[in-house]
Amino acid sequence: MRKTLLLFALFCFAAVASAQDMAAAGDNDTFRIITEAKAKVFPAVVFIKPIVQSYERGEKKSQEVTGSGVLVSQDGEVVTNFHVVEKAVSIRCLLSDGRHREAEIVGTDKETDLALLRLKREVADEMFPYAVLGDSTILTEGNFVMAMGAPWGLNRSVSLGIVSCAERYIPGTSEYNLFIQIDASLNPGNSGGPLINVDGEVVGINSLATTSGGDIGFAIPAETVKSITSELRAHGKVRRSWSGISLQPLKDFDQNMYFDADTGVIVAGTDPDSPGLRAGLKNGDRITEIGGAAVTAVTDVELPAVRALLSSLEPDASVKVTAWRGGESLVVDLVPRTKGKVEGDELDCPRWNMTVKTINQFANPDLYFLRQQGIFIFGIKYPGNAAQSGLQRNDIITSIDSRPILTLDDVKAAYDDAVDSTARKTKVVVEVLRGGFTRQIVLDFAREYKAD
Amino acid sequence: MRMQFTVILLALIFLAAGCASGARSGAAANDPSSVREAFAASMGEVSFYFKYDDGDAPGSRSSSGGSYDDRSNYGYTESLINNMEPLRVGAFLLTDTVVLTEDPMIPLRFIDRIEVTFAGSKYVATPDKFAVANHGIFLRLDRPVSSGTVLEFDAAEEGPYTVAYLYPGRDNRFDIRVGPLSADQLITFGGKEYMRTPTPALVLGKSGHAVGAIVSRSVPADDSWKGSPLSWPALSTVAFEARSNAAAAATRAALLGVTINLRSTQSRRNMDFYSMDERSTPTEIQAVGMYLGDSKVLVLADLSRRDTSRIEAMTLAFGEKRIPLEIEGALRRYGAFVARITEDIPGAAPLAFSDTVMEELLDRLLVGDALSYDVDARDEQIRRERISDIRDGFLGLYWPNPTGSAADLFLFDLDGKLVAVPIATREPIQMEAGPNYYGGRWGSSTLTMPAYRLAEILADEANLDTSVKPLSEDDSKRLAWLGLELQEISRDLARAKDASLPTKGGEVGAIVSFVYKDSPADKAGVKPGDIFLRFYVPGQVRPVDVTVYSKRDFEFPWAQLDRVADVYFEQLPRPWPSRSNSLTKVLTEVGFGQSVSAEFISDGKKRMIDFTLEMAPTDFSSADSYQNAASGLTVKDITYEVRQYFKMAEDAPGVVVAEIEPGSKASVAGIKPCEVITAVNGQPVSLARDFKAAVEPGGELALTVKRMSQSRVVKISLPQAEEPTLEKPESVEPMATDSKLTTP
Repeated sequence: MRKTLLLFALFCFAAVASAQDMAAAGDNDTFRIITEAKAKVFPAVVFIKPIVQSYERGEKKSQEVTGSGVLVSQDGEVVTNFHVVEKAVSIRCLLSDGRHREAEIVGTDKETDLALLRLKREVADEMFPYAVLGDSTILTEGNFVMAMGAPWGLNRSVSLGIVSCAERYIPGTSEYNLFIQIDASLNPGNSGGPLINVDGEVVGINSLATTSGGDIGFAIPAETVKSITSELRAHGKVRRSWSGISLQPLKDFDQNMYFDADTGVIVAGTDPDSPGLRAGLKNGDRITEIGGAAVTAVTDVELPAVRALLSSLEPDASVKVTAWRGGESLVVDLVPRTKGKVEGDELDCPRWNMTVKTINQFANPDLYFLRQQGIFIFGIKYPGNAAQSGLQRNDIITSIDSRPILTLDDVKAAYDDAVDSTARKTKVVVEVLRGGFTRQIVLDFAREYKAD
Repeated sequence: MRMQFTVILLALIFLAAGCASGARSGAAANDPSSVREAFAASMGEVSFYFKYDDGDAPGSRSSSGGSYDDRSNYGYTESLINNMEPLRVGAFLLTDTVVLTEDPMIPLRFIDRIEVTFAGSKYVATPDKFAVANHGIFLRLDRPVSSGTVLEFDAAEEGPYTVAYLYPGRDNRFDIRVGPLSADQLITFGGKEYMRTPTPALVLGKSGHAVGAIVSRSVPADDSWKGSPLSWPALSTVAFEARSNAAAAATRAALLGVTINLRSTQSRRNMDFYSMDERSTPTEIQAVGMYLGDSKVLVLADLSRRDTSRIEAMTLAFGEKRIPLEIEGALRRYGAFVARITEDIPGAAPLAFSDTVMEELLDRLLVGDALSYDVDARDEQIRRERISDIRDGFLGLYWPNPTGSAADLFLFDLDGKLVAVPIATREPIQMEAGPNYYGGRWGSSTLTMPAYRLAEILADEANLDTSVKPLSEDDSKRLAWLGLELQEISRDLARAKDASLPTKGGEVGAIVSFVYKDSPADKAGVKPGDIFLRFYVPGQVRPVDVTVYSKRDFEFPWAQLDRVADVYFEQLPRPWPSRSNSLTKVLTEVGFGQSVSAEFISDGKKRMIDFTLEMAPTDFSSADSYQNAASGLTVKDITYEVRQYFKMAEDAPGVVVAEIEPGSKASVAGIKPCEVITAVNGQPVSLARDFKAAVEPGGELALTVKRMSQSRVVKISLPQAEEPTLEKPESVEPMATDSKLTTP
């Protein structure tokens, strides 16, 4: 017996050893590992089908989307991506044991693309299987990982791969965190599902994949998931402060830029009217210390950490920032502000066949630049009255029939006024800001665009 | 009984005598049938058969034949050729070998053969003489007529007069139509009375004898038409050719070829600046230059102010020499300009101008020289010409109409004096109309200008606009402005603004969408929302209606700029509006310093504002630029419309990136077009030349680059510019280290 077992183990080892170079301990028996790991997490994988409401196509439209999630606590907390449950009005979840439950949102964070849900218990003290969040910091390239979820709606699927890159910076997306790049097959539907290691721990939440170019996928590291979900659990959102300082690394091969220093991070610029600007920071400054903590970003991989540090500063509390400018060091007082909403609210104007949205400093910086408080056209329906009249997406509405428009309520009031049947109006004059210039457009809504 | 017999016999004898001598006995009354009977044998028919000559068609108008059909339209002769049909005109027998008919005014080179038919017999004819004072042409038959009666004329016979004219009937036959010459047919023109009759016609006196023949539409109502046509002043074809050659010879010394070279409009970045028809104007134009003596040349070319500003060179060809011309100014109302030659041209001689008034020249035989130049080739066609009509037209003046085409036509009298020159009227200024604007010069036409009128115009300095002249490339891009951005007005919008009537339902006018600070419009108090209807240009009756067309607003892809590959940078249009729009273009055409009266609707009320057109501040297309080859960056000064687009303060530093060379250091460093560079190595830069000074030395550069409100640091490392080498002394010898010597 023992002899047989040893031979079997060796056989497996040999087979595996000849195939791949394995890094971490415990990767000896691929098949056993896969099975055991799967067994630990599989029951906790959730198939999520939310009904989301979108205003993007010029009208308020509900749509069912598909994604995945993972239970992280016995009482039914589910971690998934923000983009799976964004603007959801109802969320249905299917567990691997066949139970299906509604879920409610505990909290979401758009910037890290994470959301925390809670399943609605059907019986009191109902228990759910859950997975354990592991340590993503010890992951390294070559480690075996598995992605679980529902690619293309095919729930209860598992794919196998390795860590292609343990710390990947994705420009435009990696505001506060890095990603784990993997080659396990990820497809639409896998979003929000767990990425597990050979020990059956959740080391990431699968989020992104390239649509062209083979099996390249990205997962949010468990480290990030842990800190974000604890914030969501406690406050329903992640509280961040905002300083308005954009950063650049010391060495940038992509843009062939190398600053002559080994420590610190370069200030790319400060946003208008931002705490960073008020503190007196200028672009080109090299920040070496924030609130006593040394900061460095040699390459872009280190940028999220610095940003995360900045966002974790206490709002309205002054911190000392040490920077170097032109060979001399200086210390400034930075007073961060609370980072407000990162996206504006939306409103549907059905008879006008368009949707409008509040201009938000973070979501619409270019529009915000033109008008700090205002409304813009988010979606235009084709065919539709707004489209026919020559209104375009991203037009900033400044007035409707001479009524100044600053908030969604203003639009609602103007809309109700115009469409009120006793008024018998069929046209309104909309003044918009487009490309920096005002245009006056007559919005004729005499026609009702309805599907036959 | 015997008495009666004698009378009858005498009558018969008289009758026979009358017949034998061929003289006509008067018809008892001028009734149609007796006239026909009396003159049928004297009236025949001429058939002119045409051909192409040297690839040219006879073309153009021919005022011949009966007056009530449409023989005088374009292409009639061409259709005759295609049908292999002759032009048929009535003719009168003057001698047994000479007939008179109305000259079809087709140059002889297009006439293949002429056939004449009298009383059923056909004869071949050749042109013999041209009448000098009317449209008569005398043809010589190849043999005497075998049957036919020669006409005899009695100038003394009095009226009331009857007109007998040949009318083309059916079945290839001419009918004789008879009618009284009534007072209705008299017209007064230029103080003189004329008779208008159908042609060709015989005028018969009260006894039915022929008094005279008429072959021109309008004949002076004096007695000059009476009598035999054989007594008319006439010029043989040979003599006419001699006069023509003399006139042509004079033109060789006076009408010279001018080559005008224009700067090209084809530039990728200049597509906005030039309108559609400007882009299609050629870069080389050939024109006729009339030497006026005293180093002056009148160049007959119709160029707009903007075209003229693009002139790079203008040369006069004289023999082998190419002499440069300098423009002094353009005629205000006509498409021609006066230029000065910088070298002498011995052998050139200006043409002698005739001072005979137009009315005196009506119908007279003239020499027509249709002259144009194509590079060195002189395209000249000499033909006989007549002024068949004088009508009032442009500027309320009387203008002569030649029988042929007025294009390129110089007219000379039989003494070789210049009677008229071809000149175009200046087209009225108007705005480019819209997506359906097909361009092209419309509103201008070629006139035949009497020489004496041209002399008057040239003599008055006020007729010359000296502000129309060639400009350097930068200066030619300067625009006149009011400081407005306009938006198209639609019918609904016009209604919403209660301006349907003044804007003619949204057809005319545009809404002011923006007023630039400190611009002329701003100072006049024009506000966004006002409607700009039209403006009035002095010297032009027709106002310039303001019409703008809306193109689909292009949204500059600021958010996706990082994803645009650098090879496509040059295709990115600019996010700020081009300051060269239909309004500024038309204002520039009016000219700097000119006054216009602009009509606005402001707050529902009409408002007239007078503006003196100023030069706009430099805009992006004409801004100072600096190209740094080492980095691949081209930057430009930030001009007012770019500053307004980026909402930059007046004193905020920055230069705008105009171009990035694909694959260059700047491209690798991630700089994109339309980004703003505010500082180099910490030093703010406000102008392209500041940037040049900062960047030229080379080395490690840290640029502060802004995209809208976000800035970042971009580092580029450029090769060090070479240090200027110090002059080494001729001989370098070691200085002695003797302490007595001191170093200089």
